[in-house]
Amino acid sequence: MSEENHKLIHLYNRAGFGLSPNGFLSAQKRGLEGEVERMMKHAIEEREIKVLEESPFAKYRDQMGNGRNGAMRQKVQKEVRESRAKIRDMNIQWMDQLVDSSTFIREKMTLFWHDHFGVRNLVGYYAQEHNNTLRKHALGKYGDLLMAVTKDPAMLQFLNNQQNVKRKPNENYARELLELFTLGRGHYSEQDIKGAARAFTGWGHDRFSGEFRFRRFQHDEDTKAFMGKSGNLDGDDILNILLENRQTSHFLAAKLYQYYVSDTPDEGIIDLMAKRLFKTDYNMGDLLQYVFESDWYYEDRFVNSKIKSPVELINGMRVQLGLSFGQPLAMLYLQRVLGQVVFYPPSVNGWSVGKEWIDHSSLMSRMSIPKALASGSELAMKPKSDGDDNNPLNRGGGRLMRTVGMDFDALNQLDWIDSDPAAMIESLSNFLVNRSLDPKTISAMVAELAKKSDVAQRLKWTATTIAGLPEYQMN
Amino acid sequence: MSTSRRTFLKQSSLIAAGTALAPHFINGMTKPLGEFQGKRLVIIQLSGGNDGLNTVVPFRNDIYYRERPQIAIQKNKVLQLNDELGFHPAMEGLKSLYDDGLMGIINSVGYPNPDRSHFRSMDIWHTGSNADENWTTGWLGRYLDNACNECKLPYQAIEVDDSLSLVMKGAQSKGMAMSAPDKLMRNIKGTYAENLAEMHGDKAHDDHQLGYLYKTMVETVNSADYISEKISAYRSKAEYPQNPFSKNLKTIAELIGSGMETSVYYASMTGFDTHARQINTQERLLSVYSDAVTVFVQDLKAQGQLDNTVILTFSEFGRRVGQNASGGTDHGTANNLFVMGGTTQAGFFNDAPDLTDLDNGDLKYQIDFRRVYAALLDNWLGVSSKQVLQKEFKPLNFL
Repeated sequence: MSEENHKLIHLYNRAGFGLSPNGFLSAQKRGLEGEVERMMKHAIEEREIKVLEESPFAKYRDQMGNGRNGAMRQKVQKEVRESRAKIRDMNIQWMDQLVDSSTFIREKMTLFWHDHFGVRNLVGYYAQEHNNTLRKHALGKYGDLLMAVTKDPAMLQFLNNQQNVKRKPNENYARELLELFTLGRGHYSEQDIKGAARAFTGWGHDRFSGEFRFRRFQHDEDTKAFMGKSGNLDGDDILNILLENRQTSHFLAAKLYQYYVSDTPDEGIIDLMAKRLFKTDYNMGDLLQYVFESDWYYEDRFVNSKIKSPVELINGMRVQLGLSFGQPLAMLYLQRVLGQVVFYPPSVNGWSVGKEWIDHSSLMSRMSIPKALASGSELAMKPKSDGDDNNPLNRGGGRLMRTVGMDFDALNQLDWIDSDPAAMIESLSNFLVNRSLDPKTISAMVAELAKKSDVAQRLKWTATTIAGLPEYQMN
Repeated sequence: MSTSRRTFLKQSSLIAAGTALAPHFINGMTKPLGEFQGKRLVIIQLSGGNDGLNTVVPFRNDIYYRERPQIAIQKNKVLQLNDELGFHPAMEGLKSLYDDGLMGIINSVGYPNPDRSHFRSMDIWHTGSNADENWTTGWLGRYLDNACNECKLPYQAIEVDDSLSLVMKGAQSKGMAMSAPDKLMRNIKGTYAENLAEMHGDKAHDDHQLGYLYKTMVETVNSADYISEKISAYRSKAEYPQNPFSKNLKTIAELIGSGMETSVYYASMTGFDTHARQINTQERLLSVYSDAVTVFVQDLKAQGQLDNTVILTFSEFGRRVGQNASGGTDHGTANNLFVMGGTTQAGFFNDAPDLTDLDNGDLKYQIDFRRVYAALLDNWLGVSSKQVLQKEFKPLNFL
C-alpha cells in the first residue's frame, strides 16, 4: 500500500474511528492533499441529542411549592425514573453519531470532553444537556466550554457547586477545576482552592428547570486570594486567571496529545501544541487542524502508537468491518462487557488511558470478540455488576449478541482484495491495522487459509483473525 | 497439555531466562509442583450495599424496631449470638461457624464523610482513598506493586470474575481475572493467542505498547496452562450449592487445594441494593451467601488450609437505620465486616452500633476500614501498609 494511503488511514483513525471500505476508496481517489480541510468543513455540522424536551421537575414548579404532598412526590419520582431510563437512548444515539461520516470530527472531540470532565448525572435531561454543551463548544474556545460546563446543572450537581454557599463553602468543584480541568496537580495550593471555592459560592441552578442561577445572597463578596491575585473575585475572574496561566494550555495540550497523537509523551510536540493553544485563545478546531496538517503527525513513531479505548475498538469495528446491531441495546451490552459505557464515566478522573485498559482478561475479551460478533454468537464473558439497582444502563442480557453481525461484502468490493492467501492477508492487514504483519504470523495464517477454498470464507476468517490480534488493539 | 505446548514452555523459559521479561513467572512454572506455604487472603464483596442491621440484628433495641416497623427481623426469629445481637434467620450456616469459634464480626466499619453513591463508595473501598480523593489504583494492586519479587506471578492475585476490578489494578502490577480455569482456557481457544504465543513467545515486539500486549497475552496463555494443569490434580470433595457465587468459592477452594501460589483471591456477589421489598430479596441473598461460605470454610478446614487463609467480607456501605416507604432501605454508611480463618479473632470485636447516636439517620463509623486493610497488609500478607495505603493507619487488632 502506498505511503499516502497509510497516512490517510492514520488520519481517519485518530480524527474519527477509521475508514470504511467505501470511505477508503473515495479518500484514496481524493488523496491526502486538502483532506484535512475538507474534514474540518464537516465539523461545522452539530447534531444535538434531543431525546428529552425538558427537566423532569419543570412541570411541577407551581405544585411543589407548598409541600410534602406524597402523591405529588411519587409522580415526580416516576418522571425522574423515566427520564433516567432515556439515558439508554442517548447512549445509543451518541454511539451512532460518533461513527457517522458527516459528524465524527466534532463527535470524537465531544467524547474527549466527556472523558475530560467525567460527569455522570442520572437525571436524563441534565445528562443530555451536558452532552449537548460539550458538543456545541467542542471545537470552539476552551474558555467558552469551561464557562458553559461550570454553569451546567449536571456539573453543578456532580461536583456539588449547588451546595457551595457563603456560609459553608463546598470546595469540590474548585478542587477538580484546578486539578483536572486546568492546571493539573502540583500547580496550585490549598489556599488557591479555598479562594476559588469562595468565588463560586452562589453559582447554582434552578431546581425545576435546571437553568443557571446566580444566587446573590449565597455569594461571598469579601476579598479572596487566588493564584497571587486578590480582590472581590467571582467565578468569571477565576476562570480568566486560569486561562491566562500558560500551565493550563500545557496541561490541556498533554491530554489532547494523548488522545490524538500517542500514548508516549513527546514534550517538544506537547509544547508546540500548548503554544498554539495559548496563541489562539484555546481554539480547539484550529489545534486539531494544526495537528493533522503537521508533518510530524505522520511520522512512523506516531502511527499505531495508541491503545484503543473500548469505544474506539467497538466503533472501529463498526466502521471497518460493518459491525451492526440488530437490537440497539446490544451496542450498550458490548460497551458494558468491554468496560466503557458512554454517559457513564467511572469518576471525575474519566476513563483509563493506554495500557491501563489492558489486563489479562480484558485482552482475551478483546481478542475473542471479533469472531463471536461476526457469527452472532453470545460472548463468553458477562459485564461486571456495579450493584446499583437504579442504574438504567444495566439492561439487557447476553442473548442480545445474537442480533449482531458484520458485513464482509463491503470489504470484498475493494479491488485490491486478492483471493491469493498471502496477498489477501497483506491487503487486509494494511487496511485494518495499517501495517504489515510479522512474517511468522503471515505464514501461519497462510497455512490456515490454504485449508479454506471458498473466497468469502477466506475473507471472513482473515478479517476476523486480524481484528483479533494484539495489533488490532492499537491505532 | 499438548506436547508442542510443553516444548514451547520449555523453550520460552529458556529464552526468557536471564532477561527482564517475567522471569519470576517462568520460575514459578519450572518449580516442582509443590505445595504453596504462604498466607492467603480471600475477599468477598457484597455489591449494592448490604443492610448490616438486618444481617446482624440488634434484637433488644427499641429504636431498631421503631425505625423498621415492617422490615425488622422479629426477636424470636433471630439466631442469637449474644444477649444483644443475632444473625438473620437465613444464616444458620454462619451461626454454626460462629458457635464453633470460626468467625469474627467487626461492627461499625466505615470512613469519614461517607459517600452514599455506589460507585464512589465502592471506589473508596477499592482504592483506600479518602472520600474527597479520586485514586486510580486499587489497594490490592498496590499490594502487588509492593510485594516481594517472588510474589509477582501473573496469578498472584486472582479475581474470580470475567473482568478485573479497580481494586486489583496497581500502578505497575495487575491481578488476573478468571471466572474459572476451564472458562479461561475456552476464551483463549476462541482467539489466535495460542498460535501467536507459540510463534513469538513474549519477545515478539520491541515496540513498548505492542510489546506489552504480547507479553500480557503470553502470560495469559501460559498461566491458563499452568493453572489448568495444577487444578486438574485436585478436586474438592465438599458439596457446594448450585449457584454462581458458590461455584466461585468452590473454584477458589480448588485453586487453594491444588497448591497455587496465589496469595489473594477476590469474589463478589451482587443484588444487595434493596430499596424496595427488601425482606424476600435479602433473605434469598443472605442464605446464598451463608450456605456458600459455610461450605467453603468447612472445605478449607478439611483441607488443612483454613489456618493460612483469612476470609474477609465487606460491602460498600450499610443502609439507613429507618426503612423507606417501599419496604426497603436506602443507602447508608457504616457497616459490619465478617472475618474468618487464619489468626482472626472469633466473636464480636467491638460493641453493637449505637442507634442513639446517629448522623442524620445514619450509623456513625467507629473503625476506619483502612485499619482493617493495614492489619491484613502488615500482619498477614507481610507488606508495609504505609507503602500500600500511602498513609499511616494503625492496624486493627483483630488478627
